[in-house]
Amino acid sequence: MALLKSPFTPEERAARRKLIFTDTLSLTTILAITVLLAVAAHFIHESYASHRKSLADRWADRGIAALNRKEPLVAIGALRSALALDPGNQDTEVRLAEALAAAGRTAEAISYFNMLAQSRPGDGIINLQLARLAARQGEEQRALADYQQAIFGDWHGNGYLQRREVRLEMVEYLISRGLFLRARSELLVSAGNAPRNDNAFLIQIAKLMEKSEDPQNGLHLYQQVLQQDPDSLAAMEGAGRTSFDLGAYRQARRYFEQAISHSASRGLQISPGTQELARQTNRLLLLAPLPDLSPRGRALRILENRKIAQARLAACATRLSSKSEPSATGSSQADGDLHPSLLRHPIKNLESHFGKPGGKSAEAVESSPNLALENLQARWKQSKRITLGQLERSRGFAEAQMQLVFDTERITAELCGSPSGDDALLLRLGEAWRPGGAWRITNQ
Amino acid sequence: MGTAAKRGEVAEEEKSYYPTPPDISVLAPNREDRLFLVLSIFIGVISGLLVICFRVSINWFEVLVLGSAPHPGQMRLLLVPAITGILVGLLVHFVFPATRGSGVNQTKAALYIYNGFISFRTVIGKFITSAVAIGGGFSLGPEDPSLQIGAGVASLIGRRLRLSRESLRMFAPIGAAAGLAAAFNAPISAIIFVIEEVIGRWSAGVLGSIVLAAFASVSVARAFWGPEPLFRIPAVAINGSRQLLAFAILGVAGGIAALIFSKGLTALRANLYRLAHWTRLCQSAAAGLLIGIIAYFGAPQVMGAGYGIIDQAIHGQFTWTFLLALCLLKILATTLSSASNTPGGMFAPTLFIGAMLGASVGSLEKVLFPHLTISIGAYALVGMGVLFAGFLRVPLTSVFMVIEVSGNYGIILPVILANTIAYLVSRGLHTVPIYEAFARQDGLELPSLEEQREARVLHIEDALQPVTAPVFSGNDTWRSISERLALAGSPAILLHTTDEDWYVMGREELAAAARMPDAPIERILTLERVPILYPDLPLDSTIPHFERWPLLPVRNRVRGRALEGTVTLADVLGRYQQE
Repeated sequence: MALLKSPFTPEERAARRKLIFTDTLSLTTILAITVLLAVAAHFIHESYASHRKSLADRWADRGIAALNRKEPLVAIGALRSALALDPGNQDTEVRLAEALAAAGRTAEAISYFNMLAQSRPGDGIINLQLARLAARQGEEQRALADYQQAIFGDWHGNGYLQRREVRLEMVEYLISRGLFLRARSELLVSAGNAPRNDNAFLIQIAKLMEKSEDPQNGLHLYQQVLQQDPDSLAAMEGAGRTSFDLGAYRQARRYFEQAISHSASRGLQISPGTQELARQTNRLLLLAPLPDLSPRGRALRILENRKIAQARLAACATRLSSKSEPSATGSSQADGDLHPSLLRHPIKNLESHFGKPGGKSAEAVESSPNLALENLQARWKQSKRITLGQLERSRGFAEAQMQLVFDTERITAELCGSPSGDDALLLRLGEAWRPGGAWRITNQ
Repeated sequence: MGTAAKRGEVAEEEKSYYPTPPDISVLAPNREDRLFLVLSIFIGVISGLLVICFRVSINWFEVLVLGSAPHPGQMRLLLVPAITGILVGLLVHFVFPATRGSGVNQTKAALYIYNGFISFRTVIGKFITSAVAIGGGFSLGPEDPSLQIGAGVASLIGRRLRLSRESLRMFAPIGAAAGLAAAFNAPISAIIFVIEEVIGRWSAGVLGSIVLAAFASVSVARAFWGPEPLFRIPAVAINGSRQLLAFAILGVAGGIAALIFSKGLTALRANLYRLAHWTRLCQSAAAGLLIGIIAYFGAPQVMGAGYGIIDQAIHGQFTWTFLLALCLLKILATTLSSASNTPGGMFAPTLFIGAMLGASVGSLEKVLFPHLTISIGAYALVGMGVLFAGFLRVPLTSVFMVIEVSGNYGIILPVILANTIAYLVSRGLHTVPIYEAFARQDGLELPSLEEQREARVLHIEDALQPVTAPVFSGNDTWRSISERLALAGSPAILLHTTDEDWYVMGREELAAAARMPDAPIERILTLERVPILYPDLPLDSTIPHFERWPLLPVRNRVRGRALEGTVTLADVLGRYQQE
């Protein structure tokens, strides 16, 4: 068997072995250095990361505290610092945008929120903030769109509660913009989604329904609450108020009496507004010539109402005559005491009450308030002497007298400003008046 | 004088490191090839780890000396950069003289002048001085030092393994790519930058190792920092080609900004060089004081690398006026920092200035033309690329860098458009690229890679002449050829052989064939293969053949036997002389 002969001399082989050994040693050393370096890098990286996190948290806490103290500028600085240390922290980003908005840097805040919305288009809180900013800028359509996005957006924690709150906030915005119809539909959705036993929330919705000029649904909710919790003072008060708004004065009185007695027995405090409304309801029911009264009782009330209306007419006439002189000289101060709506659109308002002036001159138009008053005074002169018997005998005559009373209250309200006391109640009673002599209060 | 002294000092140090390798190449001829890939991975990993330590050290130092949230009016903002400047000045002057500046030119010098040598002291010094300077508030970045640290690691490893001089030279760019890739968290940009700015050419021999090292270092970096790119980029969408006009405007603005920046920087640096030598000890301190004043009186954002501020600008958190102010102040602060030769890089400040400029132009355009739907983040991103292209003059890197840090290919069109405009504006108005200008000021004659890239390559077709030499058939006899040749007077003839090939025959060969005057000439001679040349080949590829052939036939690529023309040495030299 032939031996393989190495191409190297013994010295070269030794050198080769030495080379392999040194290379192995070098590579091992490099590996060891790599491992040591990795440990060192891990240690300093972790220590810095934890330090950085704690710093970020500290700045974020400072920012939130400043925001709560209503110091948005301080909050902006602190939150920016927090974000520099912990970029992309969503809570801090939202807080920063809130701080920008609170500091009045609306454009900056909108730009910031828009940027956040680009990365998280479905985020509830971001869309809510955008809606608030748009509302602040008077951009109604955008605000409503953003509110809708917020309602249907993603929420951390209890999404149902947060969406509910956003919807109510949107309703308040709608009410503030006079968009009652849309507010009512949103409230109906809220009421429909609300748990049956969440009385506090139902009362909240009912109150907003009152604000959105929907007393009917408000009353329904108050009654629903009272069925579940007959001791709910807020529901009693609300039911009284909405009944009053609906002209259901007897029902309103019942709820108010219930609320007053309940509050007295439980040592609770009833609101001054409710107390005043209860008083007005009682007085109104004493003034109203209700059909279920005896003919004499009704006639007596009509006579009393006539006296009240006459006094109001006289006072208004005196007031207008005393002011006619300075107004003729062009004093604008005299107009200041007139009803604001009449001042804003005098001709339009007078047209609505007394017909179009047609080809009348400007002077004739300017004298229209006096003309209206003269017409009213003429009607009063025609029915100056009436007797209790006339009123008792003829229902039609009685109704005509009450119509005169209501017309007097209405016209004097427009010419001389809103009435108070019994005049205000008669005016309100007139709103519930139906030609033919029936009041909505009759059956309730 | 300083540079010459430094060069001598490094040369001495270099000599002591170099082994005597001839034995090794005999004992283990394939050793280096085998080691190369393994060492590339080691270089990548170690560079990545060092860059992590470096970046964290900068952050730690910054938090320690400037606090976690610097804001105007803090006395420390005024004092810290100046004190840091004094410390860095002393360190650079007395302990680490080779750590001045950014690190890119130093790496190129290692490659082209010092045979790949970067001392261990330089690596340590670069780490310490750059970390102190950047952490102390100088308007500089960690990328260029990372590049030099990576190159230094590669040099150290190469020397430890007693690699040949040629291999050591190739190791420097491998380490540079690894260091830069880890610092940027963007391997492709790092590879392209090293090829575009350090090596200057695509070399297949080293490309594989560069890629391997870059990816190894980025893998290590991502193990620590996660896979996220350097910046959080919001969704970027460009709707309609008309909106590209907005980016064209940004390109022009970027070109002008790059011009102002580079002119200001080179002018100030040149002036500082003219000052007495001892002033270099306190130039960093003076620069630090001025940066401190800028920070103290309202703009602490210009301190350090400023990644956090870039992130905020990308996310539209500033008004256009503030962004523009930051852009201008950063140019000033970086000019001061860099001109004073404080160790630290220019990548991060360039990105900062670009982002601020882009976001500012974008915000302003949005104010003027509210129908534009491009996000501020898109403008900031393109702005970064624009400054990269205009100031650093690395157009290819600038495009890949933006795409890599954004992870969005949808932005490629505006990036290419704006970067090209900025590059052309900057190049047209300021002919010398910034790194080249720095090298000249430092007394280094490094190759101009921009010129290399753009140099016109001559092809054979540029010197091609119509066939004037006599053409004979391979069946022709010596007698008939010599009769006709006497009339032509040409130094060589073209022989069209019976197998449809071509042969060039000089007069000596023809004379040798006279022994058989009536035989077909191709049977008499042993025909060598004539070089096969085509018109599109580089002109210099012909030169080696003229020693043997007085005339070279140039063939058609479609009809291989057909001739396009011929070239002679005189034609080639004449063409080069015209350039």
